[in-house]
Amino acid sequence: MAFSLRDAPIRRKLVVVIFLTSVMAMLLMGGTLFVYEYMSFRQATLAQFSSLAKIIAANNTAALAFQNQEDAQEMLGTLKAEPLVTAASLYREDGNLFATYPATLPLDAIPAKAETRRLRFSGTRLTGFEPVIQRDKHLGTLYLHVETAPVVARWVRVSIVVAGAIIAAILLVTYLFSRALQKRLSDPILALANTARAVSEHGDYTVRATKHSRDEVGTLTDAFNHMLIQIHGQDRALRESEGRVRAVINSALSAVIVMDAKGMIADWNARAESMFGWSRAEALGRKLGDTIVPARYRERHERGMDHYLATGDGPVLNRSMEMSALRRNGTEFPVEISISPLKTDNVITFCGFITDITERKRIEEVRARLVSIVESSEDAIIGNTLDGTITSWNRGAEKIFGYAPAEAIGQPLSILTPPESRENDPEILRRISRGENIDHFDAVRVTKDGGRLDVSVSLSPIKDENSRVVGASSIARDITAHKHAQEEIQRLNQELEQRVTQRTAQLEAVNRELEAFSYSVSHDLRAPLRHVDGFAGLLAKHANTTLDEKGRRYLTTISGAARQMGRLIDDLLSFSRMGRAQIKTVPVDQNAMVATVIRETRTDENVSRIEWVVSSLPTVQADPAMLRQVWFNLIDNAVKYSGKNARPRIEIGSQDAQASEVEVQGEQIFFVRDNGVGFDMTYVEKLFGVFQRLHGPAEFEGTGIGLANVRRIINRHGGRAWAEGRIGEGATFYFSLPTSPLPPSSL
Amino acid sequence: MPDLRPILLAEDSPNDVELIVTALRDARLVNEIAITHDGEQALDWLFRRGAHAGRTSPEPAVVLLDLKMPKVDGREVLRRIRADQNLRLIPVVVLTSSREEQDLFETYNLGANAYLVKPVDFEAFISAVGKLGVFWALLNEPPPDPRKA
Repeated sequence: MAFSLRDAPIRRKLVVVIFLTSVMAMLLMGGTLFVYEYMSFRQATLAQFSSLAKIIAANNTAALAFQNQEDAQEMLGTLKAEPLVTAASLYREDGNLFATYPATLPLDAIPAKAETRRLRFSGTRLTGFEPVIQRDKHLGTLYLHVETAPVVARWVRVSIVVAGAIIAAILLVTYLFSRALQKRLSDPILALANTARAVSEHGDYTVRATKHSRDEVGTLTDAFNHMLIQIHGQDRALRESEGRVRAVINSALSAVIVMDAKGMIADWNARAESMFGWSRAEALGRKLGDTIVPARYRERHERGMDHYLATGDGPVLNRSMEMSALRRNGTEFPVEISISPLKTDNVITFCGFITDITERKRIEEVRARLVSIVESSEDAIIGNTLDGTITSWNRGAEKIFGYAPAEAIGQPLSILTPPESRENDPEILRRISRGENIDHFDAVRVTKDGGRLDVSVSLSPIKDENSRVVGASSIARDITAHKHAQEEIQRLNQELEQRVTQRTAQLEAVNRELEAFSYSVSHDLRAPLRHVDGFAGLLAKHANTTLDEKGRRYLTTISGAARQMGRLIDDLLSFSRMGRAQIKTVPVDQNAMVATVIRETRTDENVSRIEWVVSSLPTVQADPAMLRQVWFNLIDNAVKYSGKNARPRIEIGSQDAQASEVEVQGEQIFFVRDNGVGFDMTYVEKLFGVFQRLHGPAEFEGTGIGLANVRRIINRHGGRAWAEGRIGEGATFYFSLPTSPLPPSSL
Repeated sequence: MPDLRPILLAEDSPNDVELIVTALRDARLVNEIAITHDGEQALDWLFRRGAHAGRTSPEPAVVLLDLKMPKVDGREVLRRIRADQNLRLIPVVVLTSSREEQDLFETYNLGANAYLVKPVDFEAFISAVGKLGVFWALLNEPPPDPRKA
């Protein structure tokens, strides 16, 4: 019953409680009333029978006084009216029995002697003695024995019936009343309970219980609502906090992965999603080993976890490691991972922070490469702080200066500077600290063994990420050998210059001599010739009549030879002048020039015979007088050597360098072609020699200077002159001029 | 013929002297031909000193001057003539074997009146020197003699 009451609904509990309480109250009250009524009843009975005893006693005074037993007997007999008195007796003054009621009463039913004990209850029996007194004279004693049991029984019966009826009525009322009351009591509580259920079921902490009264339930409702407010606040704070934590985790640059003890993924942040290609929803519940651990590491991964779970010890825990991770697409990439075990309520989870270090690895590689470049450099590459302390020292520096890295690092740069130039160091460091680069200055440095080196130094500032200059790097190249070489070059240059000066002086001297020679030739060699011819002439005049034919022929020969030599000398002088004269190039219209030259070489004899084929010629840059000499010599030759042909034909034109057999870029080629006697190609180079001729003067007159002059002039213009020919088939003379004229040479 | 002034010939080569004289005579010139064989003699003659201190003849109608001579060369003689107050106006014709531009430039610059390259050809030589003599000694009106004026 008690058990069932505990689980009984509150309304029944209320009814039961009220009912029981009422019953208890009723019983207590009924009991009390009963006892009280009973006591009152006994008192009243006692009082009633005490009064009766006094009356009986008073009525028996005479009987006693007179010792009249009959009277006494009679008097006692009146007690018949009182059925409750079952026995009565009267004792004499001396205490001996005097009379009894009923008269037949056995003697053992009453006390034998009078006593002083007053009338009192003993159980339902009321017994006692009442003295019989007359005028203060003790006459005897009355004994009464009242049997109240029937009365009591009847009274109890009536009482119980009455009380039962009353209690039943009251209980009925109470029940009805409590039923009405419990509704008022339990409904707010049930409402509260429903609210609480709604809150717990929906997690909605904004719901509030309605307060119906200001009693304890009202207080409870208030407390409940207050609690809800607090819970709501805490819930919100908790949510916010969790949201913040989640946001932090999701915005972390590292992938954050939580894994339970079975190796299942329990959490997976946004970075993990992008890093590995698994969404959070896809990753949760999968085994970590199946997602991001490359196949070849999976076994080790499992073993490691088992080992930790068994021993609580894991070599990979609580520290950073670099390893390979697997993306969903199967590619691997380097990561840095740190795993911490979390123990909450005896449940172990692992929290892993994973950073993609592809870029870092790349930078490390680049850095390693740079380091190896620096290390393998033949140049000394030295890092130093702004106060000049050496912070790095490559192999080149070791090789050049002799200090091992351990010896140099931490030392001041000034260990490399010779004492006399140390005062420059602070200025250099000041310039570096202003961010300046100092490029390639030559300096002297001291090696470990005290030797001096010539070095070329470049300094540049080293800046931190805020562009603040924090040090300098200096690159020093040993240029001792270079310097020696440079000095050697300088020495050789000087020597060469000296030699050139000497040679120039020599050349100038030779030139002067040549000039003097030319002058001498022109002046002194011609004089005797003139004399030979002059006196031969005088002789011819003087001895004209006396000389015979033979003598006159001799004189003519002497004169002819002298004049020929005069021509040779003139030609030689002109050739020499051609070599020395200044070239002044201007644009030259060759068409006009060639036309003029052709006109000049025409004679009455050849004018009608020669067939001229002249193409249009381009304008060129040349010295006009000299170029005219070239055209004149070539055309004059062509006229001369084709003269013996019945139908002489002279062709003048130009051709592209590309069409030529002798192909040289950037030149224009001109030619003069005749159908004359031609020449043997064996002697082609002789053609251009001074006074070199392939024909005797008897065949064709001339000194043999013309083509030498052509070649000299063309050479001085930066071009070439050459010839092609066959005996009896004519000859072609070519010359070329550069399209961009060379500076005039002094050939 | 008091009007005929002498011709001064300064020429170191006796062959040339002979040829020139022949040429001048062939041209029928009758002027006195004073012959000097180097620059010094020519200057002595011109300045009437040394061997020619007592020369009384008038100043020459023309000086025929070879450039290349021993002791004092033709250029120096020309320079002295042009530097002298009395002689500076006398016509000077340079007779030379040289056709060098530099010589031409130099002698004209010093004040030569004409420049003749002696031809090798005998006929040409006789003709040229003869014409030259006729022109300067006969046709050309010489500047007045400053001392007579």
